[in-house]
Amino acid sequence: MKSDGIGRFWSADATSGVVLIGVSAYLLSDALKMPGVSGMLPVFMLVLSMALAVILIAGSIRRRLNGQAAKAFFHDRKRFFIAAALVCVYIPCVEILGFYTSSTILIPLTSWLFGYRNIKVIAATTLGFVGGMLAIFTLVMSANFPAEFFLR
Amino acid sequence: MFEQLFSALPLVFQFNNFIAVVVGVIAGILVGALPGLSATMAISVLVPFTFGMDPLVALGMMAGIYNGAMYGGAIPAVLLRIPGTPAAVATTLDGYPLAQAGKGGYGLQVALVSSAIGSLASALSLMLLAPPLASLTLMFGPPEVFWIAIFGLTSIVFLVGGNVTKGLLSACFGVLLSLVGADSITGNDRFTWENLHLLDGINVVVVLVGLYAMPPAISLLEEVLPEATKASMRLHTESIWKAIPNMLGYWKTWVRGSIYGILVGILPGAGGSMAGFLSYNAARSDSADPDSFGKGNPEGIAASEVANNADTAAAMIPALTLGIPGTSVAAVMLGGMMIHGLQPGPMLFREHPDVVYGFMWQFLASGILLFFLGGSLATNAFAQVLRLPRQLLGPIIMALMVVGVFMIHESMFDVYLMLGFGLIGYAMDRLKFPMAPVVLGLILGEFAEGNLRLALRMSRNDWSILWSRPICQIIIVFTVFVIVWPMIKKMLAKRKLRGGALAAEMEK
Repeated sequence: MKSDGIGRFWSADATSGVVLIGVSAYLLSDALKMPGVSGMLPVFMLVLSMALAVILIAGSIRRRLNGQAAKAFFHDRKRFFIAAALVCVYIPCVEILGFYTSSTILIPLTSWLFGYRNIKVIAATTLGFVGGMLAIFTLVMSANFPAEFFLR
Repeated sequence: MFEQLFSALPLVFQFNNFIAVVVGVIAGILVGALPGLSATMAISVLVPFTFGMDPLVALGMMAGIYNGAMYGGAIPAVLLRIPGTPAAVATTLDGYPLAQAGKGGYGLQVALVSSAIGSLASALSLMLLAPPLASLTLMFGPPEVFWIAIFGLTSIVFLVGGNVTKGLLSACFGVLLSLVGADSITGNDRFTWENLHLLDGINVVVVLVGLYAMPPAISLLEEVLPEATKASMRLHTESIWKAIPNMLGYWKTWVRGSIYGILVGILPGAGGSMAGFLSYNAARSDSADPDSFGKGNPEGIAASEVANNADTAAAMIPALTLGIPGTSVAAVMLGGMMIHGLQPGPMLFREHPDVVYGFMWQFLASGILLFFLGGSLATNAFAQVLRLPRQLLGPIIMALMVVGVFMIHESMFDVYLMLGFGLIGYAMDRLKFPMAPVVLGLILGEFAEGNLRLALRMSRNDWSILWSRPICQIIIVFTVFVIVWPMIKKMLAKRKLRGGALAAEMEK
């Protein structure tokens, strides 16, 4: 976090407070339309959330102005985005390509991208895991995972 | 009351139930041994897979994982100074110096024996305290149940430590999630946006897997930890039977640590790490050689490990009797029970005595099995787990999460929902928003609302029913105490600090 300009008093906590107020306000507009007693608890919880978010922002600004350093949000930004991107792509792939195909790609790709390059171990783990899942879930439990693209 | 307990004993020895506990203990030790993975995460991933299982098989596995992971956390704590689970933080203090002195194997044996003793004490406390407490709670009507839910939420927010505002926001999030779907009384849709998948509400398991399993899976890939080398894995252990006589001098620490662990477990909001530290500090203060603590005194390991295992089954006392989990693992286990149609609370003891008492015996069995499954040979084998590449574990956990959540309704919608909760969970984890209040809010939110409405219907909309009944008044006093106590503690600590500073100045 920069220590000049807005970064002097702003922090990730304050950002989360602003997001919470925005989301709560949006949901509140929905909750206010709920009939009778159904809307009572949602409205109460959302108003409380907004009030708490304001307290969170005020508290974080006060701590920053008192000299508390902002903590880094990520352990390692680049590695986080690669991991998050992989999982965000993997899930739609399960639907599009099928569970087994997607997992066969995900496991070696992830370990390779994150620096583990022992091909024998990667291959054995991938085959062992995918094979085990296939045996347990498809053959024994007859689970209906999204079908593999080449079997449709 | 106790006849039902004894009549459930044979259930533990049924083949499937027994194997479930064995598998659970082994899996728990493995998970606990891997830094970054916790019992909460392991049980979250496991829960969806237990749908088709008999409730006792599922619960036995969970009890095994819980106790196993508490011991497993000691393995990297002793060998690498990295606590495998948060509860093993105090174990690092003496464990690592002991390993540096070439006695890592003995350190792990002390951890194993102490963990087994803690687990047994905890299971016994569950057996002795839960049934009478459940009978007591049969006197509760809707207003009392409403206050119990409020008490549970309040305790987990105020006693868990950390930022109270964040705890309350987490609880609000959980309660709001519990309200999604058709209102069970009026039938009105709440936050469904005409999406048919949301009409039945959000499945608690989808939230659990997302919040508890995805952040560690991402962290496995994101964080680079020092690699365990072959040299650091050499334990030089002798037979555990030969080592036990050397440990008998720790009996006082075991007794005291068990009591601390049980009390902390019963108290909603506190967890194994707090129990470990309390017991560790007490053992050091009571020791004839307090200076040796922190420098490789095995008694320090015994103190921490006995207490963090003693809070496992004890955390299930308020969970089973009142529906208020003592720890986040207990909250996840509560979610696991609910998917098997077991609603925690006093009626659970009436409607499913075989399951609830069988579960208590399974806790006891897992404590005994921990000792046999984690013996010298196994401890050496478990220590090798630390050499598993994290880059391979991360995607495997992600794939397991997808399978588990998909299997609930065979719906990809649930999987996308889990992804969303996973990313929210990661942000909450990094911003230090506690997760346990979310789960508790999700479990107790609609439950509290339903009981409030029932109470008001009983009294014909007279709100005074909420504070005019004696049991309600007692619970309200407890709730207020839970809110005020951290403030009083803070004030007392400040006063003590000021007094200390003043005395130091006067001495000058």
